[in-house]
Amino acid sequence: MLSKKSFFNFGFFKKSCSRFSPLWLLYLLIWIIILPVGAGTSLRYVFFANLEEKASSFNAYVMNCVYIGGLIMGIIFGILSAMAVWSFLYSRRSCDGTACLPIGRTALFISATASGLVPFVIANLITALITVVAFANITGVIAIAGRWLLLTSLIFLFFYAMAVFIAQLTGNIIALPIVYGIFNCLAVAFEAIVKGLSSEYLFGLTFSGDFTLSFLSPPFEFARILWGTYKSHNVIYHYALAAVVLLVLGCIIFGKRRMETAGDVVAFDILKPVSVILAGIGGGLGLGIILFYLLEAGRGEYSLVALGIYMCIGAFICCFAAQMAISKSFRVLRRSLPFFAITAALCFLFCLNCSVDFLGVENRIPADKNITQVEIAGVGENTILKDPENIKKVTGLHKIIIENKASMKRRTYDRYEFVENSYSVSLVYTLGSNRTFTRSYLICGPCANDIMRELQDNIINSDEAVLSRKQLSVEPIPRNIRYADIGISMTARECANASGYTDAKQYLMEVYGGFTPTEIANMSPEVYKLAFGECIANYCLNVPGKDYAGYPDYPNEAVSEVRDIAFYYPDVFDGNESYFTYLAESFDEDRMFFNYQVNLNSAEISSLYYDCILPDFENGLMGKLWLLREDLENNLADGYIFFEVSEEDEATGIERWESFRTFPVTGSSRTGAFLAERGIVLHPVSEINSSHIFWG
Amino acid sequence: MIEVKNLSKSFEGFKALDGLSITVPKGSVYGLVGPNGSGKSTLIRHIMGIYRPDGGEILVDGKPVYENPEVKGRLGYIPDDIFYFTQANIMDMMKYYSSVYPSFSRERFDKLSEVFRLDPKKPIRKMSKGMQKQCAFHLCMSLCPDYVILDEPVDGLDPVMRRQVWSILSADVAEHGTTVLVSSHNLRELEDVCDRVGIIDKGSVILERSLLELQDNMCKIQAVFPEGSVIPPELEVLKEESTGKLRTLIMRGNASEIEDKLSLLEPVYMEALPLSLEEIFVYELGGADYAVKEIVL
Repeated sequence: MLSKKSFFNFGFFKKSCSRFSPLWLLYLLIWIIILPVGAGTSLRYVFFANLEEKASSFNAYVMNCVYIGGLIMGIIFGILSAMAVWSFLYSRRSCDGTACLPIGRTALFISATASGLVPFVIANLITALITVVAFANITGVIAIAGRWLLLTSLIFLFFYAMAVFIAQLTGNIIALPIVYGIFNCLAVAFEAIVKGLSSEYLFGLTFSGDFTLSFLSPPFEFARILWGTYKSHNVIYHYALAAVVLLVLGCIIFGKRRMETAGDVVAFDILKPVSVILAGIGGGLGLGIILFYLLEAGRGEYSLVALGIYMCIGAFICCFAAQMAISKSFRVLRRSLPFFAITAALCFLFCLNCSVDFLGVENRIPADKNITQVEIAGVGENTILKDPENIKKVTGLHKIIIENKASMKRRTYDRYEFVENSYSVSLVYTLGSNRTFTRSYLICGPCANDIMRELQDNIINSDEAVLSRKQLSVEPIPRNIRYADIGISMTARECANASGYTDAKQYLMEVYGGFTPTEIANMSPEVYKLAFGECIANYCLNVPGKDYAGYPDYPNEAVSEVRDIAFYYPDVFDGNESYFTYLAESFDEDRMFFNYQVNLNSAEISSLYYDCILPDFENGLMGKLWLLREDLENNLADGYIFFEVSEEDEATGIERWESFRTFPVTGSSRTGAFLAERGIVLHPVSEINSSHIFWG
Repeated sequence: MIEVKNLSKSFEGFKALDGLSITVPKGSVYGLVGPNGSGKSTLIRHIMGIYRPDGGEILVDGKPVYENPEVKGRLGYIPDDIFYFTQANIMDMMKYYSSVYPSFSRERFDKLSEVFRLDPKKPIRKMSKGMQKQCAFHLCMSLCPDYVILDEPVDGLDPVMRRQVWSILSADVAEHGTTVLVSSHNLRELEDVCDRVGIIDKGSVILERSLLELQDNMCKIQAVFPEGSVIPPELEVLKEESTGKLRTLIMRGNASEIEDKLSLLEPVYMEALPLSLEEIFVYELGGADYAVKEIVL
């Protein structure tokens, strides 16, 4: 049974499994409650559905158990299991008692690791079996439960392997979960702070939650992909491979570990200075920034000198705290100083770069040959360009923006103030290996109009750009359409006509007022008059030249602009007066615009897309984006066409969702004709003027 | 045979073992003595393959111990701080050790149960210190080890149980040729059981000899010399005390040779007394700057 070449010790494995059985029994119990019991409760709501719908609901529930439950359970029980089975490393007594056993390091590692993994996989298996038995009548239950078993076990494997790896680096049971927590969010936190801070000071740099290093913070990466719109199980397989690598590395490290480090916060001497420096950097970026914002908030311009000082204070505190924890002594001042000096120097360099940009971040533009595509965002609709000629135009415009940065560079303190005649534009370059390079600008100043004209006329409305906005990966055929919504600004009369009413007042009373025809018919002439008549002048807003006589909150105020319509209706039915108001100077059915919602079925939406929108995209103004106000107001109709499509991937069972939004223009012949057939009249934004609903 | 050759170990710059070498002959009972912090437990942990040496080597029957399960399977170990699982009773630990040690003998375990008479259902953590030691002996001897490594083994045991334990160990040594390495501060006890002793201090071996050689190398003389007598300078006096005319001399060398030389001074009374191991330890370490300080408070 035992030899020099043994890689596994069953005795140790068995004992370790049985010692920590409460842990994995708890895990099993929780999963039984979540999966078979939870699924049963969930399916009660679709009890009368047909088998196919039941299977679909069941599948959706089980997959959610993977995406949410599997992730949370993996994160929590991964570390708990590692803490349990590797606890022998953290006290001298147990460490000696284990290390003197006739078991080689490799065999000890494999046996201990397996004892923390196998029971949990068995718990998953038991849960899956119970689920299969409990839901035997559901079509494909074995495949669904099998998929849950595989994916949940792989997620657990990753977090457990990560905890095992970290367990080899530390010699302290308290340090293990702390380091595990730090490892899990270190990269994302670091990137968020560095990018967020840099974007405060460097022209064009932006941070909108797009993480380059999120793959190094697994919970975030799992959540990003598994909880996002485009779910992919590949992330689980990739991390499972990473788990194998971590376990191999863990085994190597365990072989080199000195057992006398039991109780030490850091088990390897070489990692001690690294840990202190990392703690210092973390302190500078974390504690320092918190102090900075707490103590400097509301002082107007954020000073880089103050930022640097607070970062150094944070670094100082954390460097010394880390050194104290590692040395188990309060007398660490002299030992910590070199590490503090290093972290202070890094903080200084960071602030210096924010000030003078010695790294050239602001002026950096990727070379045209390295760019595979560029996405222009923040201009209403995102535009993707791949044509080298168009890419060249974008980089050319980017150069012009940078050349004019002096006139438009935002100062920190005016970040939240309105800048006259300004436009937000983001350029997202995709480089080789799917790396992205993003810059965001607030285009303002004397050159703003020229830059936006170039962007509008030659870039975002180029043929490639317009056509790129129509492309969908899920075909908008009737069976894929899940939701459709068309909203158009039309006059009250047009709305009434399109809805089959002859009287606009009747339409508005019913649709907007919520009155039934009977209620309207029973209204006294006085009350009906109150709803559309002069009373509005007495009680409501926005009447040029008139005051609010009789309106208690605004006794003496006058207004200069007509904006909305109003109904006033005193509720006399229950004896107490209450009001429904929708304000206007007076009712004018040809001047008052309303949001007219069109209800189309999926076949009509599909036809609108293929027969009208696509041809209008190819030859016409539709699909173009208007950045300059005069162009927008003259061409665009105040409304939108929106629909969502989805399709189930047969291989993975994952539903892919996609949405499409476009804006009708007054010159779109086919789309305009399609809408006109349904009584819809398109008005340019300029005609609607300040009453527009969709364009601000 | 256990051979420790030129063993070195440092902990964060502190040299715990500094080129230490000892040899424990097969079938012997080797006593390891030394002051607190001299490196005894560190040496034992190296011998058990727990610590990896910075330098030097440890061989058991010519084979290295570190990362050698085959050799470690022949070693039984009772540390000063005994390890057991928190909830475990002796039966749990027996099952555990029997699954890990191929040499574990259930038959021997049952036989020893009659000697130790421990409650098999009582968690070890709830036992007294002495009972825990008994438990450790019970389990260790059930491994049928070729080598027994003991670190302060009888600390906490009552006198009867001490004798019992030593008698079991002695029987094993006699019957199976078991080798015992024992570290203890109870020198009186070591004196009774050890046939070889190593004294270590500051991570090095000061001396390593058989007990007989050790006792032969130092002696205690009580004598009354005529007025004005001077001890011959070639005799090394480690300590001298006087009570009236009676002088007590601790001297390095063979007792009969010293007596011959002192008899030339024509003492009125002279007697050579045997030195205990404790006295040897004290006087040897006195030379290594570890003498008992005479402090007046």
